[in-house]
Amino acid sequence: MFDVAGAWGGKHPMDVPVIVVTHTIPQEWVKAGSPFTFVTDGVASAVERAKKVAGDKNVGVGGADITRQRLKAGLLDEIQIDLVPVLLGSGVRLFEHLGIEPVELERTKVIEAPGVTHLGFRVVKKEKPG
Amino acid sequence: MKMGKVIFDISMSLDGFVTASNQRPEEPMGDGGQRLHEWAFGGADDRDREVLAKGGSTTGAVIAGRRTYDDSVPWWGTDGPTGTARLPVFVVSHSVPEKTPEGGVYTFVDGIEAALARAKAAAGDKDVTVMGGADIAQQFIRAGLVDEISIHLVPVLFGSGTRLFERLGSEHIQLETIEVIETAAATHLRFRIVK
Repeated sequence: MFDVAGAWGGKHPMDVPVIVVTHTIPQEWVKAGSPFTFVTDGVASAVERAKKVAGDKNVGVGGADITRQRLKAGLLDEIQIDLVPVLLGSGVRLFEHLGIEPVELERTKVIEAPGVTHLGFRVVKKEKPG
Repeated sequence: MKMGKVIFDISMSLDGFVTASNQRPEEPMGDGGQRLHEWAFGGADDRDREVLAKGGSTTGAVIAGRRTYDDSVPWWGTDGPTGTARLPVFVVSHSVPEKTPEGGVYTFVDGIEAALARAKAAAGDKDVTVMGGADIAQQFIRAGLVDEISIHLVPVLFGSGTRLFERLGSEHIQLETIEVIETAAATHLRFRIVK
């Protein structure tokens, strides 16, 4: 996603620190004052880093593949979807190869706006046995 | 004469499935797939029942695929999916089954266009509801025969099952959101297809 977005021109639109999960680090972005931190040891590690940076604020996750990995690993608390009324027919699916048992959600938010419906869901975590 | 609309109406999980996995005649919705219909049965919110009732009062005829018919007829019996309303059901099918319920509401029609013509004639100025399954819905959407898509979006991720939106080609189809009704059990979304 970092690559596709062209590093957002050097700064994420939300102007927040970005933890990028990758196998290869783009050295040109490793410099003092860069908002980007590159993590090569997986999603769980990236979440740890992001949580530290975020403090008591939320960690946002972007990109279909990373979202899938986090959902599968049980590392996602909420899902926010900006549902745009168009059928694309082909492209990158958000929910694919989840390889999960059914996950219950609780709808937390519905906001109707022109051209988009914002939907928020909380992931209902299963009680751990014992 | 006022013409009714053609509305495709279905319940779907947030990840886009209209049945859970292991769909079979004994479990037409797949394992645990009845979760998608919980909003329609015994929910605590009257608005869920209003959505259901409104759909019932504006519909004049129903179109179903053959597989949906085969899987569902043991439960539907002679009256069909609308129960005592006994709305006519046009089943898209290459053949007529050997045994059908006596006095049943079913008519078997080969091809989606023919089924739609029959359903429209039967519905008069009311709407025709296309109830699925997914394959019939895709055929109708691809052919440009649907006016509105009504999705009852259920807050659950299935991970696998029958996808609603598949094999639609890569032409973009523009929609307009015309209604959003939110309850705890489902988000009822209605879209008009922009032609």
